[in-house]
Amino acid sequence: MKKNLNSLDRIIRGVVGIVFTGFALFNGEYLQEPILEVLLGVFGALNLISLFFGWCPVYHLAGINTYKKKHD
Amino acid sequence: MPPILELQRDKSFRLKLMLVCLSVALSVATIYVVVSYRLAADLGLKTELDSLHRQAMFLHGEILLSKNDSQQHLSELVSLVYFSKHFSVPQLYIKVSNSDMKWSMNHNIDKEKIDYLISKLPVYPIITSHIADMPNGVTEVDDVTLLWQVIQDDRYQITIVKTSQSLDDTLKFVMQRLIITSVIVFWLAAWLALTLSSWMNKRVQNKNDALARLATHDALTGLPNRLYLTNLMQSIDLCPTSIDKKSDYHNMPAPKQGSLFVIDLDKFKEVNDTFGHAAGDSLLIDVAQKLQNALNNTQTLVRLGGDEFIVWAPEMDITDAKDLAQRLIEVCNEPVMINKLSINTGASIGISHYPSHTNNAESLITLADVAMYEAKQKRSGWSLFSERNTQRGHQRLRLRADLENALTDNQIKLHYQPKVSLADGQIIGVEGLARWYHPTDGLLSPYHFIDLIEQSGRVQEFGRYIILNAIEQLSQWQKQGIYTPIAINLSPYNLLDPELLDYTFTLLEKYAINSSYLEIELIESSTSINIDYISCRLSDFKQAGIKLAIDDFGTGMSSLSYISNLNVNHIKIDRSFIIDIEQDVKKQAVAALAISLAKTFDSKAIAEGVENKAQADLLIEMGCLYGQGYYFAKPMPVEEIEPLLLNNVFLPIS
Repeated sequence: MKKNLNSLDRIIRGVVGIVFTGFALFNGEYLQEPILEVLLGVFGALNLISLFFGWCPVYHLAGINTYKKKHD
Repeated sequence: MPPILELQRDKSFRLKLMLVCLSVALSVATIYVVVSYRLAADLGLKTELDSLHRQAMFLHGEILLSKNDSQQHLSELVSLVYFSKHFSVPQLYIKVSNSDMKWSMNHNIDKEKIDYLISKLPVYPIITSHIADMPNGVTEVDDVTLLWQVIQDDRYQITIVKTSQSLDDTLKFVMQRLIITSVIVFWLAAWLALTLSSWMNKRVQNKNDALARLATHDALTGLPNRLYLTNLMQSIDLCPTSIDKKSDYHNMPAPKQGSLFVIDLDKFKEVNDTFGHAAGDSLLIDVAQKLQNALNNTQTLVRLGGDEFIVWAPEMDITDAKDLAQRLIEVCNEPVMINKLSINTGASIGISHYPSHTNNAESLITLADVAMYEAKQKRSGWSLFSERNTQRGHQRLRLRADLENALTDNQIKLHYQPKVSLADGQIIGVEGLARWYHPTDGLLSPYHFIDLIEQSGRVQEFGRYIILNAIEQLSQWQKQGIYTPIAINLSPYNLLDPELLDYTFTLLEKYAINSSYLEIELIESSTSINIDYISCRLSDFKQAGIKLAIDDFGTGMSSLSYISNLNVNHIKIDRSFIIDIEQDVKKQAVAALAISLAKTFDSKAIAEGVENKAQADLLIEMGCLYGQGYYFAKPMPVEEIEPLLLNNVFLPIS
């Protein structure tokens, strides 16, 4: 996978990913709605993937690249 | 010239699409949140009202059954129901009254609000026979939602008021679930917008690229075209007006110098005419490929149209440019295989240099064009633009522009040179020669404008113009009693005009001229285009009674072929064989050959360029009976030749 995120993008996604995954897993009785929990979990997980690999599947599909801009 | 930038990427497109997608998502989410909230709130209120109704009924029942209507009893009852350890109502107001008792309690509700609410309630005075009535409802008093229930029968009236809890609960659930759902919808919308916008963008971009390529590239060779060149020239900022466009195009820095080459293939026209357009096209493709291979990445090859190419070589000085020109000439001289024939096209190249010649892109091309023309004239292969030929170049450009007026304003007129019988100097005919009476440049010979006419695509128009002039002249002369044939020069290109024969006949008929007074001298103009076709056209003219002559015999390639196919009336021996003929045995041999050929084919041999009596005598001795040249008379305007013809003068006038 080629990197397509610059570091700021990556950090923001990392924070969002951790918060959402954490919330989906540990919200206790707050949500009481499994569909929402699953969706939040997926959202968080995708963001975590972006954090680890510096690669975003949607950016990949859309042909956006914020990684290069920093190095140009 | 429209810049290609119009076709470039529309960068705001993606942003717009994303904004649209996100605002749609936002409005959908808002609508859902609002509707869901109201639905939940209404359901909650209805449930609460139901519950309040039951509580009121329960209290009423208790009071009726207990038969003990002391206030003490009521207080105990209410506190048991509403203020137990496990369940406590935050705000409550209860009032029970009958004819002799009035009990009420208020828990945490503002007294003013209660008073205001009570005053609004549909409470009636207790009437013995009144049927039980149980109105209830929700009333908002100073932003606080109060639920109320009234029960009254013939003995008691009970009023319960409490604040709504379901609204708070609803808000809490909405906050929890709907907001999170909205976040997810938003995320999906962003995802959709990104993917959709990039997909559409890609499609639009592909179309744009294809359009831009179509607009800036030549379909046949795939090379960039003139529009591309113009944009390139602007982008490298040879014109100071277009600084802002500089970075958009190829990111090329403005060069400090550069050389521009205009390349014109020498024999493209012949290939096209002889082998057809398909062969011409494949020749162009081959040559374009070869030229491209001879260039490096920084140099741009552009096809200007037809057989004209331009090479722009940035950062190239004049010395290198000369080397490159030589290399390109060699490349063009390599034979190309067409229809299993190896054909050697050859090319002429003109070079101009930026900034020493000019710093304007458009005139850089013009100057190189002038130099190319110079090279073509001198057959020198390539030529560097120099100040010396600027003037000539300017004249050419001006003449090219003036050409249209020349034909419409009758600025081109015929001068006539007599053809004489060598023995006695009697005029047997005249040759019409075109002269351009240019308003500013004076009298111009065909040398100055014939090639302009050929390049401008007016060859056929010009041919008709000359024919018209000659026939009008014949008509005028015959009215005066002069019956001298006029010969006019036509190039094979004129004969490609399929209507020319009809045109000529219509004119001959209109002016009532016998066709034998018109002669066509065929200039070969060093071309050998489709001989069969030309022969066929010529034979049509011949059959119609128009006389034919081969001009400049001995210089062209196809004269013999014409002679063998057609019975031409005259063979005109080229002047190059007549100059110094009295001293040169070889020239005598050629002339003798021509004369004997003419005899064999039953044609008259006419010597061109006879300059003295010795030549005339020698020619008579060799059997050539006719001639024309300065010895007898120069070409002269119609006013000068008319008296000679009228008086039947014998030339030369000594």
